[in-house]
Amino acid sequence: MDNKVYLITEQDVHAYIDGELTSDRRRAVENFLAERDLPLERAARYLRNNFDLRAVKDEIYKDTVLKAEIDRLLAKRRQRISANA
Amino acid sequence: MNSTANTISTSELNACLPALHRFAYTLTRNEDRAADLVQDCVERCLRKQHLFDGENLRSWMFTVCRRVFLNQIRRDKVRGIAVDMDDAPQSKLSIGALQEEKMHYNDVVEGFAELPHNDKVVLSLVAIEGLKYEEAAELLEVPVGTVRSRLSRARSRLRDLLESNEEQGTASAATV
Repeated sequence: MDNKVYLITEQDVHAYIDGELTSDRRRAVENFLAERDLPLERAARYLRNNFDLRAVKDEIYKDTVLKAEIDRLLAKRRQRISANA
Repeated sequence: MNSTANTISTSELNACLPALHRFAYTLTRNEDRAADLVQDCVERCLRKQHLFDGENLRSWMFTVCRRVFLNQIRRDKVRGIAVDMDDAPQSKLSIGALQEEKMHYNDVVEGFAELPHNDKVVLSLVAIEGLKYEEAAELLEVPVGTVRSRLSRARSRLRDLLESNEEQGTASAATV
């Protein structure tokens, strides 16, 4: 059995939502959330907000300044990916 | 670990249900859908109980619940039921629930519009475009730690904005 003790921070909860954690750490966060109602509710809200933001993507990108910046950054990413290919 | 560690007792399961229901309600924001999600989740946990490691049932049930919810969202997306301002993520919603859903989406759009520009950018990259933190950091030319802290701040701000909207909504509903 794994006896490591993890300190769980707010940022770990975000990383959990975004699928950024290793399986050990993900488990630690799940254990942490399972025992605490408030962080759990918060995590569920953040997870839900991710879906919501994707659902209203077109509305959000009506902000032309934001849309232009995201397009610029994604174009930069595509260039990097093709340069590395 | 002994040979009975992987079976789930009814009393253990019942003890998890209130928290599981709260979790499901926060995800679905609808009483009926939350009840359905809990039901699906419990069925799945019982069918798959041989996969349970016997350690923390509550934690494992949340993992299953999250997965079942993600599958529902994906399935609805494939069917084309979801996800624009005029549609709810799940079918068979009452008119009241549909209106509530639409209002919620409006609140999300309005809340997001009030965020500082940097918050909008990081949330767009990670939450909407699905970039990894590392990728977002490279593109923004900042350390990964900065992406983490911006994201954490952005989500807290959005949560505060949505909560204050909810409170205003409740207050105005109460005065009607």
